[in-house]
Amino acid sequence: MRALHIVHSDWELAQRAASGDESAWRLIYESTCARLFALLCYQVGDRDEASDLLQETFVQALRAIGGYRAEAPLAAWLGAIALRKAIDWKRGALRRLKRTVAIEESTAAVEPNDSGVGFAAEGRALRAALARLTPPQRAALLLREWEERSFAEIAHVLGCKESTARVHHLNAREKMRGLLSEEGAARGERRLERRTR
Amino acid sequence: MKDLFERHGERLTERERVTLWERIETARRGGGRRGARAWRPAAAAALALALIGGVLLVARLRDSRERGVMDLAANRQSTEEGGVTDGGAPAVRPGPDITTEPMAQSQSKETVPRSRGEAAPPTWGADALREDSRPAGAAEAKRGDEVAAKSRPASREAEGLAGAPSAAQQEIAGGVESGGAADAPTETTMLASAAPASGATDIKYEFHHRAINTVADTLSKEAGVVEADGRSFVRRGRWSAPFTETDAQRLSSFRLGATRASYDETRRTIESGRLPAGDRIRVDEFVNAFPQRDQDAVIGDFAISLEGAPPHFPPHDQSGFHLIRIVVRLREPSSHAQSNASVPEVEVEFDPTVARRYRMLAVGPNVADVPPPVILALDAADRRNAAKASGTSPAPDGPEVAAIYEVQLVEGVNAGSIATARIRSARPATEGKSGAADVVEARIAVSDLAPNFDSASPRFRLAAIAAEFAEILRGSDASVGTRIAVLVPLARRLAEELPDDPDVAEFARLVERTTEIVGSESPSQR
Repeated sequence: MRALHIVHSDWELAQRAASGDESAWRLIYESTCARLFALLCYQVGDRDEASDLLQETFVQALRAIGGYRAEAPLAAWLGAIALRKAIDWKRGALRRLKRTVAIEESTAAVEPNDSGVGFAAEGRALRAALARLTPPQRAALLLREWEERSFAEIAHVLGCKESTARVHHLNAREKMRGLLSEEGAARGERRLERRTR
Repeated sequence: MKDLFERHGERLTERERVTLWERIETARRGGGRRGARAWRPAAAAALALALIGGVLLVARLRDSRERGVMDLAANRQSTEEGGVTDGGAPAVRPGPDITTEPMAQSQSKETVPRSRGEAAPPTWGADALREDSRPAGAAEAKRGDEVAAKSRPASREAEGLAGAPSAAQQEIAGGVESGGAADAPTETTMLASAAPASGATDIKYEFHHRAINTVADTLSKEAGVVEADGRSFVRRGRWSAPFTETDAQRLSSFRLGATRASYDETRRTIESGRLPAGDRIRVDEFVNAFPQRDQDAVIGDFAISLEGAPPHFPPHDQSGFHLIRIVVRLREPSSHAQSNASVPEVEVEFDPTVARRYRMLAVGPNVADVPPPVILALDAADRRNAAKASGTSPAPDGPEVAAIYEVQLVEGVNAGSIATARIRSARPATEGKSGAADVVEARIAVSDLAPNFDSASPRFRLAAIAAEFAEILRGSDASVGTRIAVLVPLARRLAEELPDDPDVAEFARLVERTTEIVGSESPSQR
């Protein structure tokens, strides 16, 4: 048999975590929390909510880690939990909004909270455009374009068929393209106005 | 767009990171505050229960008033059944008229089994030849003796094998038809198989055809034909990988290279009304002609997934035989997608305490037989262009490769790991990306096996049926007991289950067309 140099895999890490190994948990947390937090921020548009959802994600992972079977990397597994939580949260937020305001779903997305962060105009445009997408579209776009997940994985996270995930992604891309180009044109016009004054 | 997301992604501050970890740790240790909103579901549930209890209480009181039965005994009875507790708080004991029916509905939904249709008839494997199809002559045939097992059932089974010498057979048929003998039977009978040399098998066929003498020359030029006369011919070749005893060799391997050239060539040949020559068939290229689309275990650059199920026929099902499909997919972009230099090998290790023997359904037991792994190293667009340039269809989206092993488990074993698939990942772990590892591995245990072929995933069944189809066309000794017509309903069913994939519908039509060409009994006649 040829020699193999085996480094711990996600599965082994999960096994250690499931058996209560704090260092394993720490490793999992440290290697995934930043990415998950950013993903949740994009998804819900609010740092405080994203922080709470991230905590709930890890709390749920604590309970479920014993069932992790390395069918996906831990980061993806945690990402799936986080996105489901974000989508659930979004549904709850929509319900709360609809109780008080008659509002179209496409515009009911929670606006991003830019306070305390020095986002450039591009960042604001990105977040504003993301906020116009439906939760599945946003998730499909982020998972595909940013996380580089396969459509099969995206379908798994969204709980839909792969073809549906592809449609969500396609629609999201087209919508984003339109929104970002509109925003770019508007910015250009504003700049022009300022110059001509 | 990835850059855009990277540039504007929110970042946790160090303080937030530490605080969050402390909160998670508190939850992990089973106490304290679990989250800023952790109390909300509990509070909502308590409120809902209180409301239900209140409604129940009001309803019961109103009901009692209307009936005029507010005597002390009835009131006490009501209290005991869940109306009010001593403290006056609503009890959490909803009455049966409220909860029983919905629960029953819910349970019934969960327990109603899904209809899966009839089990497929027996069709598969080398042991079908030895244990089922030709029990009397197989052992002798393996030792090199010729066995004239020319019974009518054997003849029918061998109709499937007509695919092996098919090109010659079609030329024969064409010649006969042009010669005015279109109604002449064109079936062949396998007379015997023999193993003259390691890794090769001779299969002797007899033609039942009036005009056979006229095309003996044509036959003798067929690839693999080592003997031909007016009534029969012998083909020699590596028709199927033999079983390997796990005790002797527990490691198997295959390379990450997959095209579908053989499948495409076969499709064109069959669509033109002919059967392909057996030596043009590559089982691995049939298996990889379709996307696998698993919920892969993506780790670092690679995704590995394993699925197993018994073959779709009884003899192997009863003998501990299982098919195991291993799918390896390369993520794009990745370091491996950038160059052709380091396409790795997938190593499969079988546990001899669980798996008695195994064989890969592919061109042969040697890794050298597998085509060079250039396709995988290209990105999707390049693969399409390369395929276009070579006149073949590209392998389906996602650079992936699947291999199917046939494994016989140790008798009586019902637990343990059967096989572990490993692949070496060259890319080191990078900050912020978990999962990169030097060796990525995934395993399949006995408990992971599907209970029967029909309960395996559609993509697994598609790969298995494609492999079976190829083995029949190759004239593999593993498929002697198989009639290709059996595949027709299986392929049709898959086309119904995978309506979004036109390739599957095309495959079903191809199998059906093949039965017409081979002259097998069609399913409608069964």
